[in-house]
Amino acid sequence: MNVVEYLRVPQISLALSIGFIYLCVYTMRKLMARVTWRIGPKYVGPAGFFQVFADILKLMVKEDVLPDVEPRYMRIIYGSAPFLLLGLSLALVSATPIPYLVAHIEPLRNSLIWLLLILSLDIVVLIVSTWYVSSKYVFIGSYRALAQMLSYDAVLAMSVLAPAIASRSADIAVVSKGLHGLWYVVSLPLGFVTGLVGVLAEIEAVPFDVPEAPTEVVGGWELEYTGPRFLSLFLAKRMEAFALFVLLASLYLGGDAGYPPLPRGTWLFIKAFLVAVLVMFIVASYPRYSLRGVLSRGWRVWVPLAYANLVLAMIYSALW
Amino acid sequence: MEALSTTSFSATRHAPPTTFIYDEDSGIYLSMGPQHPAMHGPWGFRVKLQGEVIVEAEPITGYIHRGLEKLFEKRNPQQGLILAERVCFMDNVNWQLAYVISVENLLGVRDLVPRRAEWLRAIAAELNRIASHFLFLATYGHDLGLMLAPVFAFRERDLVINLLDALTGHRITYNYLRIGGVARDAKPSWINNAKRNLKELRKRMNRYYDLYLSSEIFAERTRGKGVLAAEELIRHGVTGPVLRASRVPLDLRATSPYLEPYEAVGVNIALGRNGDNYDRVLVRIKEIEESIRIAEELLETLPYGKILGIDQPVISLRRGYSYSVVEGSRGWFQFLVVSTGGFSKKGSMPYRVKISNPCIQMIYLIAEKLRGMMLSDAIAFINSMDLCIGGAER
Repeated sequence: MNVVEYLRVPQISLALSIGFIYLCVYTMRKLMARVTWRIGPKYVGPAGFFQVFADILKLMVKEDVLPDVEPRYMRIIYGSAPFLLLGLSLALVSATPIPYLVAHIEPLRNSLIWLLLILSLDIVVLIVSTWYVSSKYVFIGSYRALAQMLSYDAVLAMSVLAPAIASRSADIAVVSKGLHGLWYVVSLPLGFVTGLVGVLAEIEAVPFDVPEAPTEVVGGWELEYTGPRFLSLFLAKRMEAFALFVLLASLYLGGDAGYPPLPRGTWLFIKAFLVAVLVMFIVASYPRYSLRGVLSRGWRVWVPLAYANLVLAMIYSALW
Repeated sequence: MEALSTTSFSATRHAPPTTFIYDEDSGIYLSMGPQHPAMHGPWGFRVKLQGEVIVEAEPITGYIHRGLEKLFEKRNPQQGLILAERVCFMDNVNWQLAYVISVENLLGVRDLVPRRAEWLRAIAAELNRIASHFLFLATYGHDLGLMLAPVFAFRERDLVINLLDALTGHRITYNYLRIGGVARDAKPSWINNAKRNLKELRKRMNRYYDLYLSSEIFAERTRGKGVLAAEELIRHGVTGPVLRASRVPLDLRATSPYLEPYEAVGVNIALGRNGDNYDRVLVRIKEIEESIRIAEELLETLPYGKILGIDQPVISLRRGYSYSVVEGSRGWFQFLVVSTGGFSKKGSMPYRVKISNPCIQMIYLIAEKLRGMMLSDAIAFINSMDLCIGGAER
């Protein structure tokens, strides 16, 4: 095992996720346009493909404004939170199997544990950084985010653990093979649904966008970030989404397996993209829950369902 | 409300510490408006939050008071037509209708209005009601985070707006009615177009049942939330779809028809069951369907004849006063015109014009009901009332 090889992992993760995000943002805009009988981006590049690039450029040159934070030193933490979150998201992508597949490196051992650990850190950054901010919408948004993530991290973690228990391994590569070759989306269909719900809540997508609901808390905890900081936050959130889509695809949809055989990592990328498209359709066609609706459904519906799925996985594990 | 100024957000560098401390007694003061994405128009509420729960709510209004009533005192009746439809841009035909009926009654020329003109007035009013309710569906869906709603509802609204454009020549303030009739006649080709568009619209209405009423999340946001009892609404003087959603069958088109065509085709009153947010949406969707039916039948039975019963612009008023009320898209649109009969170079101007908008009563009702509500429910509740703040402040 060559340690130097592993230094390439973050680079490849960054490249892959930026490619994925670019593709997703463009697809989202075109898809939303199709769903609502519009045309979508059109002018910049072929079929508006470089519109996203133009938007990134615009965000980079915008004025950078930060609200007052008391005590003053907390301003540093508040101001740097988007970059911290970006780092965390990069770590998250680096813990998924896709960069290892692409770079032909042996994947990390027990990477699922790492992934769950990193996944639970972003809310800490968020709460610590927004606690002292004098903007009320930011404050309300951040405690909404805390409440939501407390409920749905449990759903996501249990849905992620179920296939691992069924295949008695914390290695994503092993879990990907499925239950004796049968993908977990077939043997644990409930887990895929609860996992998708957990992912939606984690990335704050409609109908779980309560923490940033534009018509209630005007953007919530990300309200006061502008220009480059907003861009960084945008990237961080979508990178997290990328990591979670890859996770869902590799646990439930058979990982990199596919026919016809393609270069390593391609099938996983395609499957993650298909999950992203599914999420886009959900985002396009549902209204938002209220805060109480999200929390009560989290504990009364999704946590029990995810737990039932976990029990089913334990039975599989005991029988086979 | 002294505490508001001391706890408000300060952006200045030398301000005292701007950190607000959350404790059970004080809570957070939050200005939802006048610039807030969920507030349609420059108004809002200054609310005191404890956690997510609103414990106090004070309306912030007065940003678009235009002094319309005073302006009427410097216009002759003909000029007042243009002013009357600017009370609320969303339902301007009905506002103009209330004014026109009032002035016609004052002049005693109500009987001179030709039947064809009455029919065209009713058709325009119903089309405008459809457009207004679609605007509600668009904004309400957007407030609940439904991205498809504004696009679909505006597209449907456009079918109606195009018709009104072809009939009147304008897309927003139509200025269609005249004292004694209407401004333009409907051509046979327009009538065919209108029938086709309304048929298309009727086909598309199913989408709103799917998109709003049969969605589980939509039900979670609206069912049993913001319940208004009928007695409460009557005590506040609230009328219109909000009242009908609370199961009070009061629709002036049916109970005391102010235009002959309404009597001719008959109006079914759309009623809700519990008076919650869900019923207010349901009533409006049903009213759109009912308005489509009324407009279609009126187009079928459109009589022939003149469209203007008076052959010159009316610039003089008799001494006396006249009150009129029509059933608008938000409730009763009421006009009181008082005249001393005096005459000047510009013609005779009313001594006093009083406009009563159904939305102003709702503002205080909302402020009362907001206490104890959660923030997300508050948005769903406030906007389910479909206020026109421009009309409310006049």
